[in-house]
Amino acid sequence: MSPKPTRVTNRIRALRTERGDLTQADLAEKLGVTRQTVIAIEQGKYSPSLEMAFQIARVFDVPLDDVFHYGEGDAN
Amino acid sequence: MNGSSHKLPREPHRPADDEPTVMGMEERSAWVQVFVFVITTGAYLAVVLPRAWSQPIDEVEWVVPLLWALGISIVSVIVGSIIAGVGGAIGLTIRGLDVDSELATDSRDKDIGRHARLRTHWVASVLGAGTLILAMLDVDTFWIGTFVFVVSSIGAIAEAVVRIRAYRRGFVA
Repeated sequence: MSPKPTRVTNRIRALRTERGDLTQADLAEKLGVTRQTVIAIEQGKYSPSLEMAFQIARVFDVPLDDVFHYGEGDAN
Repeated sequence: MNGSSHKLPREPHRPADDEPTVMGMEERSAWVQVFVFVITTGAYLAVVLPRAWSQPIDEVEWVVPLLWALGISIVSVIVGSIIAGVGGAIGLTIRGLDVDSELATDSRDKDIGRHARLRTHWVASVLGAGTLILAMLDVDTFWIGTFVFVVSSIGAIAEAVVRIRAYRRGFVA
């Protein structure tokens, strides 16, 4: 498996599981993107824009840093 | 009637999590772009280079082959992308997935396009500087025309390869 291109990780899949009823297709529809984009975000292959990140947090009704985390180490 | 029936395409169903989908439209276009430019540029070089070796360079007929290669490239990318899109739509319909939502383009496609243009920006510099140097050296127009076409094709291929890589392995904007 190739290394992830970004150090940003997220809990979208876990949050969807906690919600129970939200599929990738549902989330894609709420965000106005394709299912492929939601899959790419969940797999860490694509970092969404700040605006979309806030939209995702709003869908789950949680703060932004409950959804996205930045990997340990240099922040430069 | 024996009860057997043709299988009609299924009505679109709600895809389950991680249900495989088909390649998006933009990635299909990128693949078409790679194949078309490799073939047309190779064909152009296969036609004009033997002429350049076998006759005086100022007598080499290169304008018509270049215009053909350019025209075929443009038309093939457009037609190839349409055919690839239709193929994807048929595949989705057979699998019972919604064509409009699965083949749509979104912000990720735009970001990948921007990322690819940024990563292949060097081609424009090579093209500009190389053409200027060839003109300063007063080489035959055959070399200038061929250089511009080949470097532009390399740029188109490189841009498409970066896009494909970003779709498959991910990228950081």
